Amino acid sequence: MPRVLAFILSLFMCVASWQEAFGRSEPLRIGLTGKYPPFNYFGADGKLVGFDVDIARALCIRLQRPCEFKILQWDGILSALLSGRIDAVIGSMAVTEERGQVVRFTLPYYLSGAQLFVPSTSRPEPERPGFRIGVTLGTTYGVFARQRYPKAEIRTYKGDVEVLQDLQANRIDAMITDKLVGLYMKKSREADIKPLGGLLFEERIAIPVRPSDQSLLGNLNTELKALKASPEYAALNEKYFGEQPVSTNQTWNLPAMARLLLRGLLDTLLISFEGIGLGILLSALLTLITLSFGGWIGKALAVAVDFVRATPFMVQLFALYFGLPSIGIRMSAWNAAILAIAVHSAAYLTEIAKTAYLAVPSGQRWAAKSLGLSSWESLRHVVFPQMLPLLTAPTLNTVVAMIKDSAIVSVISVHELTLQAQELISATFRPLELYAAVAVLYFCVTYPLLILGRRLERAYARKGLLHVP
Amino acid sequence: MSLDSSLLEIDSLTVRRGANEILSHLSLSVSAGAPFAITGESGSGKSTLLFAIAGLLAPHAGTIRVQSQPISGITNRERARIVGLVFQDYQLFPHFSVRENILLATKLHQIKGAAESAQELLAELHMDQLADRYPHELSGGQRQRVALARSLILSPRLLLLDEPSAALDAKTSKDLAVLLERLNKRSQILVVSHDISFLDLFCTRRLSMSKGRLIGNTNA
Repeated sequence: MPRVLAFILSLFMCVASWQEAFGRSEPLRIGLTGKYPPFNYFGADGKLVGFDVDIARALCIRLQRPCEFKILQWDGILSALLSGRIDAVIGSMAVTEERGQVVRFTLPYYLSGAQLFVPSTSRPEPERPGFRIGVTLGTTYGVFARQRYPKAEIRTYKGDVEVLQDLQANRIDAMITDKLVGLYMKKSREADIKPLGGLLFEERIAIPVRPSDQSLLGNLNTELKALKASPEYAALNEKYFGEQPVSTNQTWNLPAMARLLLRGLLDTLLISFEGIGLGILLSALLTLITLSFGGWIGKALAVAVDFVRATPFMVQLFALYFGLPSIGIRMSAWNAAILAIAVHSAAYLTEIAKTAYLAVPSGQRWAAKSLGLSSWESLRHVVFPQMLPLLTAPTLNTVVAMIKDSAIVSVISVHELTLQAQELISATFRPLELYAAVAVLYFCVTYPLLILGRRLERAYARKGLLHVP
Repeated sequence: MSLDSSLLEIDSLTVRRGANEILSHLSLSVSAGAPFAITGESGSGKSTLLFAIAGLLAPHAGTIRVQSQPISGITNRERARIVGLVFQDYQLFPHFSVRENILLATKLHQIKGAAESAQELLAELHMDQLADRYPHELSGGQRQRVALARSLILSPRLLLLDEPSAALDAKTSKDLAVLLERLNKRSQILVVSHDISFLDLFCTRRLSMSKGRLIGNTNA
């Protein structure tokens, strides 16, 4: 009996130590957005890099656990942590009281805060009325800027890259951004800017974990303390924020960039053609309904079509993506983009189809009827073939317009060509080359469509089906 | 069918457009025989009468019978084989060749032997060399003959023509009169026209029309 007990005990200990070993090698799942250079972002070669990423890797090595990075939306990152889909966020999250109520923060792994930057050579007078300060939309920097410089004119931008571009073009006098972000821009893009004055406010950046995950919190704190005292941390600091500029070769990787741009182009084409395909079906249905039901149904549809044509595409996109969830309809950014393109193109195509239908002389329908054709036969064999020459060029024009307008879906983070280029620009700061490349890519797709439209029109004109002036 | 039995019987036909009465209580009886013409000023309601007989617009009151059959009670397809209509501007289908124009209805109605009939018709109308042309490649007179063939292929009992001489010169008008006189043996011809000199060439039976009413002997 004691031998059996000893055996069971040793077996138990064996399992426990095996479990411990297994637990140690279990990956640490780290959440971040991948959209916050230089802290975490996708480099020109499409790989996840940045200060946060380097810190996370250093900590993983010290914890002897493999790192597993999960890209998440910023507004869903804490719920992912609390629901156990990730174990920690190493994504430049600032410690706040509100966040502290739901998660536990480690010691800060860096300090930063809002900082005013001005061109190195300028003699700025931020107190002067009309002093122009650029900030990124959706940050608290604008609020602080107004408090600190009440006479200044605050301009908002989509991102830091755009603010910096305008600062360098002298369209604004100063910008406010995170101090470390600004220092990184100065370093990596050889931006001729300098910080002016002290921090507008200070932020402590730390790693949140689940409150129940006490052992991970303890381990992370131990390793963070050790890491911050090590030369490794100093080297990372220098690499990203020091005086030595980073080599541009690191961020200028032509084949990788071409690959990313082509992938963006593919997504642009997928979104455009799926959306327009759906739009064509929708417009065929709308046209048939409008033409076969006069009265209030036709009028209501005509008003709906005019409404879509008279409102901006971006507003429609936002309404679908941000508006519909409030009445319980949720869809991915990709699907929202396709739906918005479908609705927008359907409105234009319906108008085109209606115009083409009305351009076919009513005598043609009467002739068909007098020959005993049914309404459907008349539409199918007499009216539609005559609408086709009138539809072709305007439809291709709409397709071209829609492919160009699909760039707008980048605002809801769909990784199509334009957003891909913007991300590469934020990594490489080569706006001229990249935007030129993007323009050429759009042109390569749209120009053949325009040519095709013209050729078809000429062919129809030769057949006497279309009058081309 | 005996000559004196009525081919077309119209009883108290009224057609309104908005508040205007285009045709008011119009009655007419046409028996099979020589080509029949209705003359009158433009706006007198001649074309409206043809369109009503062809079933293209629904009368507000009254009945139209062809061979004792009310045309309002039958399908488009059935009516097309009883009444044919050649429009003033022909209304050929521009995306179809001459042959395709003629054969469209027979193809959709699955009428057998139509291709041969079309060939014969084209030969009779001296159009067999032009079968593969498109309407925009034809002269006005040629287009009219395609429109005639397109209606005749369905062998209608009654063939209506709306101002057939309107776009033709004197020579072509004369040729058309000869042709229509010949075609009248296949299908009873009913022409509306204000071109008296053209009608003088071949139409012995005539009525004139004014303000939506027929004048003269309406029991022809």
